[in-house]
Amino acid sequence: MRLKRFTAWATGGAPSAVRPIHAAMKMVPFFASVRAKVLAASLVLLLIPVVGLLFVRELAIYLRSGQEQVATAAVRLVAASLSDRPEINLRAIAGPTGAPSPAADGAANAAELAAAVATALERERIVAFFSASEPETVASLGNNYQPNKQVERILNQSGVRGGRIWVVDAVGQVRGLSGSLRVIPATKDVGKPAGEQQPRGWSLLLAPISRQIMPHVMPMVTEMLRDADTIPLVMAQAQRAAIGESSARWRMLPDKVALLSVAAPIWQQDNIVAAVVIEETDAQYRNVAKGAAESVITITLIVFIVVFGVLVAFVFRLATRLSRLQREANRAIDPQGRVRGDIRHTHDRDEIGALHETLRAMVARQAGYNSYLEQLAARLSHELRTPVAVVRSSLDNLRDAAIPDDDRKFLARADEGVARLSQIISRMSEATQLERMLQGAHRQRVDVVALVGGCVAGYQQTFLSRRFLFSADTDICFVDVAPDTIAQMLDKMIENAIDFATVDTPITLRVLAQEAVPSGTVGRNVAISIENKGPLLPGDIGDVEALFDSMVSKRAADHAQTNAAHLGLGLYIARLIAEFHHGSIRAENLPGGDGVKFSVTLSCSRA
Amino acid sequence: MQKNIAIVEDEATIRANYSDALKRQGYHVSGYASRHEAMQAFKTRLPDLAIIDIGLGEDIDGGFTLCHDLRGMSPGLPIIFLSARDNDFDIVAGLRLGADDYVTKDVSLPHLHARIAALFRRLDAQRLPSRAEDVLHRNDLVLDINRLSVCWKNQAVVLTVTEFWMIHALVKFTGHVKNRDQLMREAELTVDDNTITSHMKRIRKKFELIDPVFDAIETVYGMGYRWRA
Repeated sequence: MRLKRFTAWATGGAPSAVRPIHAAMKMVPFFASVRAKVLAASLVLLLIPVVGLLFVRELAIYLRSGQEQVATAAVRLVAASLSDRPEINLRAIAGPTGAPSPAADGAANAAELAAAVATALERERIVAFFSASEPETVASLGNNYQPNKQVERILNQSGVRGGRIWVVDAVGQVRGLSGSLRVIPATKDVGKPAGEQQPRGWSLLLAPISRQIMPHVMPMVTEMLRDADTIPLVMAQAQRAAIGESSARWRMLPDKVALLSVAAPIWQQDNIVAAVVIEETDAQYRNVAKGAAESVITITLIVFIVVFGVLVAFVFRLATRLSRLQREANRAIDPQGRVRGDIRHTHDRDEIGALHETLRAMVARQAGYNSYLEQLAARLSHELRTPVAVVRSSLDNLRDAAIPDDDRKFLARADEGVARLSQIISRMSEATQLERMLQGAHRQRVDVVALVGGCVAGYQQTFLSRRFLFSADTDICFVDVAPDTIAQMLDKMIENAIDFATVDTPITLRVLAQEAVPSGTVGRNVAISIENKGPLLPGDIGDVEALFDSMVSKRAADHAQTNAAHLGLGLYIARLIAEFHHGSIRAENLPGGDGVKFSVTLSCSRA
Repeated sequence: MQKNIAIVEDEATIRANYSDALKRQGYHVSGYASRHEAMQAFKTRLPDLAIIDIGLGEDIDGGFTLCHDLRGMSPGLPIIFLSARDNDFDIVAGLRLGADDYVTKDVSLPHLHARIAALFRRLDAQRLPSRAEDVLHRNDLVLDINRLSVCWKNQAVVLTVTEFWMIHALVKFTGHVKNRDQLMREAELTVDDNTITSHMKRIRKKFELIDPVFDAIETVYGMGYRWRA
């Protein structure tokens, strides 16, 4: 950057207004950060439980079809065991409610017998009623419940558990009923059945989750029942079985438990005399599925938490390293593009480590290049001095030679040119010399009011055509500064002010010690300002900042032609001195809009 | 008697220009391009004054080495450094090696001649008894204008010719502020303000070597310097 400015000057062009690159520290908003992105990407992990639950669902479907096959086999077996058993009378029995009397001619014997049978049946019915595992079902059946002892015995022996088994004869009377749907009732939270495990630990925590998830995991059954009374359905299925149609149906009970009912006909010779219906809930399989689902949820949750945790830790470490690198890189180069520090060495050997090292090398190279540029002026001035010495000594020799008086003017002009050249050369090295001088500068306790006052008196002596006004808001103000450098800084600022000030207007210097802003514990700031009437600063704020850079001059063309050389080093030197005193320098237009004010704020301990 | 001046300078044009100019002033001048060449000649015969460039071609600090060797051969021989380098470090190093003066290459020939003449004058004066009217007494300070020598509290302060004239300018009117321009004129210097500052700093240091609490030279910031009465 500085080289550009320099070449612009060296080739005689107008000093280019190169804006300093503002490498302001950019904060990355969280939603755009790598952390947020990786966290979002890691949500893919949530697919693991979903896949697990899909698997459980498959398992549940498989179990259900297994259950259906088993139940179908069972119902066939029971039907077969009841078929072709003449000793079991499955023919319709006339109930006490107007069933046709077997003996129409009204034989007393027969009537007695019938009455006896009816009494016996009634007794049987009552016994069955009390022994029934589902008395309310029996009760709701009423007279349609005509149990047959043998049938019931066979049914009890059939070993069907976890469901109800019905035998319904051709006229729809229930001849046998065994088992209960409530042996393994629907899995409700209240009234835990003995067979089910008490949820503990994880399961307890997972209970609300699994309750939400389970209905989605279990395969859907389309037919929903409004109440738990399945008797009409059993009857309907039994009727279809009575015409020879075996069937298996799934229904949903109101408590979200699926109910399987299978039916098969019972044959006596070639006639269908009755039907067997087995009803079963999927409760036991459901528990298996639920257990599987819970395991899946538990395991995947643990996996998710572990993987997510590892990812979070990993990405946060990466992000921390990256932002540390960003901070260091920002700190290394200041807004003016100067290298102000270096990036520390890293032992990380991954890509970020490599990036780190690359940036480190870059900053080091930049520092080297900057110092090369900074020394360029000094080196150049050194190199130029020898040819200038050649010209000058030649001119001096020439002066002693016999030259016609008419030609002396050429000698004078050449002298003038060389003098200007040599002024340029010394100014070029001045900044570098100053930097070196500042390193060895001694601070001492000085009354800054007297110092500036003395300088003003000196300027008044030197520049007789100018008027200088000096004011201070305090009589005496001791500060720790390097007084020589402060005087040099004022020289440079005054030179600048004089060059720009409108003719016959005073230049005002102020020392402000009282109003200055407190600067922490060390002491207070002292501000020195120099105001002059004249042309305003360039409009662009970047241009104004650039005024204090090396080799930048914002003089208008007509200004540039006046006296000697302006390399744009004066204000640069002023800035160096201000910065040496931990202060700052800035330029602003006067509120009236008719001049400019340069002010230096020195941060120095006050005595 | 014709004085013999040696110029050790690697740049042929400058060497020739200075030689011509000094020859016109009536000196006998011999030019040498390198340290080696110069030493060969010096071993045979020492000049009356040597003007040495610091950088001699490839020999970056050849002038310093030469000055050191020459000082070893003759403690009283006036040596002037003439260099393109104008930084404090080189100036201090040169003067510490025993050079009598240090001028940068943009010095004009008349100025250079004035320095040379002053050095020869000092050399001659040292052989003469000092005359009372040429000696300035200011409290602890004794200034012998003929010998160009300075004593502070009866101890000699070794100053270069430039430094001597600066002190002289300050002391002539004690209590008067001398600004940079005036000091430059007195010392026949053609350098920028900055060099005056570093000259003054060096002068103070030299006095402080003898007297750690030396504070007779006062800086009046923005105006110049004054000798405290």
